[in-house]
Amino acid sequence: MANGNPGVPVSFDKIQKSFGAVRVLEELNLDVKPGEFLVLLGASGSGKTTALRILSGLETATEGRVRIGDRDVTDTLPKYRDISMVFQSYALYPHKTVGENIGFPLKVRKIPVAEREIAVKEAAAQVQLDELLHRYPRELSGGQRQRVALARAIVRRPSVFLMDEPLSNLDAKLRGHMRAELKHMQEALGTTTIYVTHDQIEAMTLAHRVAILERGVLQQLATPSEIYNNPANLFVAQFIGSPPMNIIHGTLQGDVFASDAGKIKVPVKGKVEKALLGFRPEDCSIAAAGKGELAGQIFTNELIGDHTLVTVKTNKDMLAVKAPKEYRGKSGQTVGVALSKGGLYLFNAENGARVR
Amino acid sequence: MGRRTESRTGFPRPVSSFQSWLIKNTIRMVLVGWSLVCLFPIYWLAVTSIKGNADVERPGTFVPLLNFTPDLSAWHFILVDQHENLVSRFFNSALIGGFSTCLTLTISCLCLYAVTRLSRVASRLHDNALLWAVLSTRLLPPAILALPYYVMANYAGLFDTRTGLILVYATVNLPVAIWLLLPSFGNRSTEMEEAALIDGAAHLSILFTILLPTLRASLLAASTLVFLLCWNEYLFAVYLTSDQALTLPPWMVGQLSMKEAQVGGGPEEVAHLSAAATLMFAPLLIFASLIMRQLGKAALWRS
Repeated sequence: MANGNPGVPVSFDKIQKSFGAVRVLEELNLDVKPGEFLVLLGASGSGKTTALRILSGLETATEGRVRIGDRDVTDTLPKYRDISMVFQSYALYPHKTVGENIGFPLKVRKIPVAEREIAVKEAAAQVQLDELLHRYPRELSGGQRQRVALARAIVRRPSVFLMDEPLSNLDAKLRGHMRAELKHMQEALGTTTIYVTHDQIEAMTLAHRVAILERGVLQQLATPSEIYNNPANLFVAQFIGSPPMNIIHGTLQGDVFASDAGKIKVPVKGKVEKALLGFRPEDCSIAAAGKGELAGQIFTNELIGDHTLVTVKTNKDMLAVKAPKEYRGKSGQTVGVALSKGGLYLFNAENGARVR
Repeated sequence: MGRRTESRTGFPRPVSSFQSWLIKNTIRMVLVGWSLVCLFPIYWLAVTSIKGNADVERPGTFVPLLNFTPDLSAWHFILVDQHENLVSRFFNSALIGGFSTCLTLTISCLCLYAVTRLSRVASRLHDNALLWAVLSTRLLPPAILALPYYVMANYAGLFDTRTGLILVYATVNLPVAIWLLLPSFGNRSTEMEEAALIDGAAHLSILFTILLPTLRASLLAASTLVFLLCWNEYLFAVYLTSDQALTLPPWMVGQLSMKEAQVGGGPEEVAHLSAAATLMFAPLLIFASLIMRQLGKAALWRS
């Protein structure tokens, strides 16, 4: 029972979920590969946590089937699904010591004490908690509590790890540290992991593949680099990246995108009345006045450290441009913005679909 | 009015330290005064129990040794002459109160877990109705229930048995316990319980090994109150017991004031009654002070 079972596939098959009249998930189809680290990314209310809770068995789907490995677990109780879950609040048992917390999943499964102690020590060592087994959760720091929750999840060697925003209660520095540890641990164990977050950095750094959800609809399922370099639609394009992708309103005629700020030759062809041109802040640069595809005035300069973020105001839109850190422009100065051909994305403004 | 500055929240705040000293001590004195008013009857009871017959009805007898000479004859009567009776009634009260409190708390926790955790959202309204229905049994005046209980106890062969009284007390105190514990149960599972569910625990073990230990403070408070209600209960005890299961309150009122036609007769009985009453609440005072310490400790578990 306690032996490891790495590399089990998970699938959501036409999962729908409504709370009364509110539809939270609309026909979610998602296949997670064996041993994969999959991140469900979305804003609050996107249905990502609901999807995870349906997989855990804490919530039941209105329609559709859930499979873990070759088993259909749609109607299976959580405890028979061979999963473990880490919660945002850590959900530790406050009246039990660290050791008792970690050993609890084994205790309720009636694993003999001797065997249990070995497993607890092993799991605790994995998250550097060996010294703290006799403490109570209230005597631990946030990061240590997070480790206890992790150890409790790995002690049973389940088929699948579920994580519901496990790092969002930590401060920024610790979060970065725990992120690296989490990634390392998942690679070492090779256990299929499904991780819910609203933090795009976490998603990009941890995931093998990211599933972006919005209003209960899966927007794109792809590797982090694919998501960043080849967004499926306007939502994904704007959700990922910081600062977000610049958007210019205009029309597409043939391979020319026309807007108030200028006419731009684009790498796609089509005829769209209300079109949007998107490009990331690093795919453009500040040019001398009169040069470059677009024109505007400098609104602000912000020195970030490794670059200067220049905000340029055109007639209608604000554009964020990543300039070299030495760049010093004056507010109100007229400049041009040069675009790199490889970083242009076109979208249909009506439905957000990508024009390819 | 002294100088004032605006505090961060915008409320004017007195600056002078004398002013704040005055306010603090005025509040303190009002509270102390009110406590004295509340505690006086208890003091009066204890003091009356050590008065001789002549002093019981004589006015101006407040402080022993100063106003009157203590006389322990009432205590002698209660502790020595009535020794056997006292011990058996005391034992009955403690046993019935203890068992009935355990029963009440167990049933109410099971009930609350079921209503707040195991029912579906759709039936929430129904559950609320259920909780009101539970309370409705408490809305009836106990005097109306006493007679039916007497008849039922007779039929069931539970008249004048401890079991009978334990069951009746559990019934009438169940709504109190349920409504007292309802806020601490909340209206849905916490992440902690969900974690236990995924870890593989059954609902019953989640209730008893995960949820209840974290609600220790509320459980202690509720059980103290329920025990008090049992300990001091008079009406049902009068109706449902005669000798074997007789508890302290009816014994005190019945046996100790028998000599006069009405309750609280002559000075002798008043002293006896006072001694018995003092003996009745003394363990409660000790118990309550212990509980207060535990409540403080239990509050720590929440962090």
